[in-house]
Amino acid sequence: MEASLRDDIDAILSSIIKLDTAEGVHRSQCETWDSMAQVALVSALEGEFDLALSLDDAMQLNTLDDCVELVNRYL
Amino acid sequence: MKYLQAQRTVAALPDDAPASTVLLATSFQSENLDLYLQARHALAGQRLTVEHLPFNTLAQQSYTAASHDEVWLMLPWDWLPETDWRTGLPAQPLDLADLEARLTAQEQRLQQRGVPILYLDALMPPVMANLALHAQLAHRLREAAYRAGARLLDGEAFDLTSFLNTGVAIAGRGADAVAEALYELRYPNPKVPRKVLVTDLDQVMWRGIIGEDGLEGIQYRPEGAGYPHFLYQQALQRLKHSGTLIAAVSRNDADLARAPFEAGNMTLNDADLVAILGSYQPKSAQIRHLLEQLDLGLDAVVFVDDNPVELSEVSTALPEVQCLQFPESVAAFPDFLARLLTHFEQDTTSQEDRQRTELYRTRLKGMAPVNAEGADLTAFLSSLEMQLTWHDRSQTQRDRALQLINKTNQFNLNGKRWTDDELDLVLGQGGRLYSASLADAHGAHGEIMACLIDVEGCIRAWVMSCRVLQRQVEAAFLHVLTEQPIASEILVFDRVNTERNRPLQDFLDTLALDHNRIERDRLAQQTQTARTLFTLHSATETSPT
Repeated sequence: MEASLRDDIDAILSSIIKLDTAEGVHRSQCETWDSMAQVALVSALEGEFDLALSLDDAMQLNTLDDCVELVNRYL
Repeated sequence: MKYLQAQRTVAALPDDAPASTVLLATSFQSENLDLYLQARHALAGQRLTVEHLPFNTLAQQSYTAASHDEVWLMLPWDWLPETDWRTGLPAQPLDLADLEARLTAQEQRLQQRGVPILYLDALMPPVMANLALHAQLAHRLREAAYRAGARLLDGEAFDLTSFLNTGVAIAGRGADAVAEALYELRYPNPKVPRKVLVTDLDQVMWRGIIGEDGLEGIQYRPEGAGYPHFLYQQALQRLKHSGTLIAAVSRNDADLARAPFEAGNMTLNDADLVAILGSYQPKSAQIRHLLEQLDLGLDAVVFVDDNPVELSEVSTALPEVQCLQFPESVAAFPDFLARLLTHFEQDTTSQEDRQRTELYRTRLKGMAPVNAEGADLTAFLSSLEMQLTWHDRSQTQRDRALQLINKTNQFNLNGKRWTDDELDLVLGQGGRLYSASLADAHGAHGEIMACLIDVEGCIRAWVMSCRVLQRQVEAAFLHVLTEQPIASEILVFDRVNTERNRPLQDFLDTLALDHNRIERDRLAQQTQTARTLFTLHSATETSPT
């Protein structure tokens, strides 16, 4: 279940930042993970997992781990 | 549709799928809708490219020539910028009279452009002097949208947090619903009016169960719980006058199903319906047979029932039939009624329309009863996540079980009514009184089954509420019964066929009984499949088994 969730979030994030995988990627070191990508990521996570993320939480998303941890917290 | 599903749907499009481009005209950041909109088109085999206006240039766009490939998604502040959350509150409350000329001019401009518009009726900031004027403004904006030919969508998809933080007005959760509405706006699905309304009776045409509550116990008058059913009958009468054929199918004896119509006290009477079918056959089989007799296609039918199991059975077996659930709550009734009526033509009424029911009634005279299989409901029943809670009522809390035994007619082993003293006697000799409650994904159904078994293993009373027919709960109950500490290895059903217990008779006929007797192991074997559809709880032991 946990692995499947991580795979799904990786699929979402990697498609937005246009990489094969988001494993090991940090927002600060990824050119394609800009503010527009951040907005798209938040919207995609909300759409996939039926969430309403707070701005504070959304701004803390810097890695795939952050995304998985955040979604787990909301679910 | 969720994000990843939308992604997969788009990815699955063949390379040579026909492609088109649309300008999604909004005043806000709407790129997050693209994928969902593309997925909606992909479902129809189309590849879509979505273009956007530069941020906040929608107003200017209304002065340009319209193109064939644009669709507008408007918010209240696209009509009146003073209502935009992101520009702050106006220094003075607005006066609607001052705004009228601007609104009218924009209505006319958009009418002339003639592009499809979706108006999202989003929450506005308090720009008026009081709530009444605020409501008036909201109403005026909806009116403006209607006049410009827009389709209205309620404001649920608007997300103020997202809008204030990032300028994205439709957050992820609402994106697919908006995309779906936009797709339907681009490709409206012209509805072919349906011609036949097939309706359930108990809890739909009237409140109550005719087989249990009797003619005097059901409610259909314009008072209390009868109101929705009264209004439903009025709607059906209106449809009948405009040429729709009304037919009833009911899991009842035919004479019982007809009795309330023949009594002549309801809004609808016998002559208003083209057929009233009472049978214990699957409803899909009854509907198919009826439509063959009427020489009409199944795509002419709307079927209304309150029971999700019946609806699933019909929609599985007859996917062409439009199925609608009669709502449990009065709050959901207006929406149901509105949706129901949209399926039928009501604009014109000719002499032939008025006489259509009578013409078809003539055709149906002599129609033979149907005898056929229905749909396999196993998958649907599994999805209901049914939970059976087992109660031993031999010592305490037996009132509901006794009440159930004494008021149930249809699924009743023998129709015998029991007094407290008679019950005491059986229990005092070592008999047991069991009952079961049912819950499923839709909610709790309460205590729906009761069974009295004596010390010799003879089932003296066994009843089930007909609200839960067709869920295989009766078979699952028997399976659990075989696991109880009963001395006898042979179970005997004290069966009496009555005028009203046809459902019980039909079920017992599916068991391989030998003179109403069966070995416990054999009964367990025969009911094993049904048992797997339920999670079992014991009222005293709460952990599932």
